[in-house]
Amino acid sequence: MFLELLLAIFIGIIAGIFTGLFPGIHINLVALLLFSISTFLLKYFSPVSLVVFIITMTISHTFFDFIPSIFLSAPNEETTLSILPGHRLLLKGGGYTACKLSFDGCLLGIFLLIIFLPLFLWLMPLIYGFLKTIMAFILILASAILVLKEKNKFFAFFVFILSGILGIIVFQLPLKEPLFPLLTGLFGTSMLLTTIKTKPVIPKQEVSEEKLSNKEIAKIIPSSLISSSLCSFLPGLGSSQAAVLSTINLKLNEKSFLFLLGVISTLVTGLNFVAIYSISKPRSGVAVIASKILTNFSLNELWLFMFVILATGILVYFFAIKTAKNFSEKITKINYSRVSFVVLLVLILLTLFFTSWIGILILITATALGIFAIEVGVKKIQLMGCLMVPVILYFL
Amino acid sequence: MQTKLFAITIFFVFLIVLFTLSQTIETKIVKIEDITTRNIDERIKIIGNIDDILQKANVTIITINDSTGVIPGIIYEPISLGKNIQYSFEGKIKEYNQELELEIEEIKEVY
Repeated sequence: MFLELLLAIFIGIIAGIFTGLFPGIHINLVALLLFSISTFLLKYFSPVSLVVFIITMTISHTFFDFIPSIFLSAPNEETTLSILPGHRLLLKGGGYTACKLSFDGCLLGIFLLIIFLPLFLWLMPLIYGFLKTIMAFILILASAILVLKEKNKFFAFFVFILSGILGIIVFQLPLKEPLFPLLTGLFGTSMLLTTIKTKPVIPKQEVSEEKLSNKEIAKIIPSSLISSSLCSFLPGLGSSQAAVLSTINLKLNEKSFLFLLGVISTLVTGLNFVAIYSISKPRSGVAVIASKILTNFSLNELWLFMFVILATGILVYFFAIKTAKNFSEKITKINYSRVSFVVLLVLILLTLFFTSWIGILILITATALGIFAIEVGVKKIQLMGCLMVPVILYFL
Repeated sequence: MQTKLFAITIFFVFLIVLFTLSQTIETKIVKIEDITTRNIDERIKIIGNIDDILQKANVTIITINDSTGVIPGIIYEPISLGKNIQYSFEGKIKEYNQELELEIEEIKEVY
């Protein structure tokens, strides 16, 4: 059993590195593939080992996902916000610093998850019982706050509603993976096309080991704990939205914001698994699949999974730093536009493979809206209306 | 300005195309014997009869039979159904308690 768990952790870390580094490949997709062959795998491995694989892959993915988001400008829906501060630092030669601060945040997020686990277990059922009665109202309020925080409120609302309409239409189409072309278009290909068009010059990168002050970290912790736990209950809200909602009372510079995004990313990821035990509600695609593989989720297993998250987080932290250093050294030597073009081509081929020609139509539509949002200077977070609006309508 | 206009025009043109497709595109008909875990979350259509109807407070559970096999169907709206009528059941395949079922979104009588 122990060897089986070690093997699951090892393969999970490798899979997470792959899904994290490769723009467009989401862990949900790998977990879904795993689920489709789970009947076969369960003949040889225990359900606990398969869930351990999913958890390590998710944690590893959460760390490594920051690297392409910062260096290749190809974010996915979970790290959309990091594109602005992260890209800004990259253009000042601080791509590595941006990654390092995000990883520091990710690791702190894991420590916070373990330290506050008893509190989360006690509070989650109480808060969820209350929240589910006013779910639609909370989601509308969260969306309104996100729109009102924008400089151009009219365009922010316009983009939010248009992406909502697109989401509603896309979910009516007979597709198995409608989110793949939708999110790839809104957040990936739109950014890549803009990068190819604007041809940014990446300056020589510096590898400096910057850290946030303890005072700054202490400022971030309370709001990240509150917003992460709220977002782990609320469907349609991810770590990007949680990060913006955390800044309602906080004034953060780009470095602190990336650290905050790191903290929230791993906290929300971990809490998604905690929610399976405490409220019997998996709150992410991978958590849904984990809950289907392991139908009886006991407290002992929860503690085992928390230990796995902690061990994976510490291990992956050092791998991620090493990889970010390599990226930092090589990024100026490569043809940036050509790399963006190759990634764009791969994303188009993956869309065609997973969702056929209908997926390509969705990809074009979503890409056009993503480019429009960039052109009118609206934060790409408004594009999450594609999930928020259908979810709000469901709860109304 | 040009990029902005171009992008939003493309968006609306393709949005109309997608809307038209969502209203007209036919969901593929699948035989019950061919349904596996690979079909989970896939929208499919089954043509068959109802073997059994179980009415609960908020949900109706039916047993669909298409002569190749049977599968439970879940309907979340109050509906009146007959046993000796052929229907087309459209919805998504889901897994509940390690068993596959069809979460029905649309039922039509087939003449």
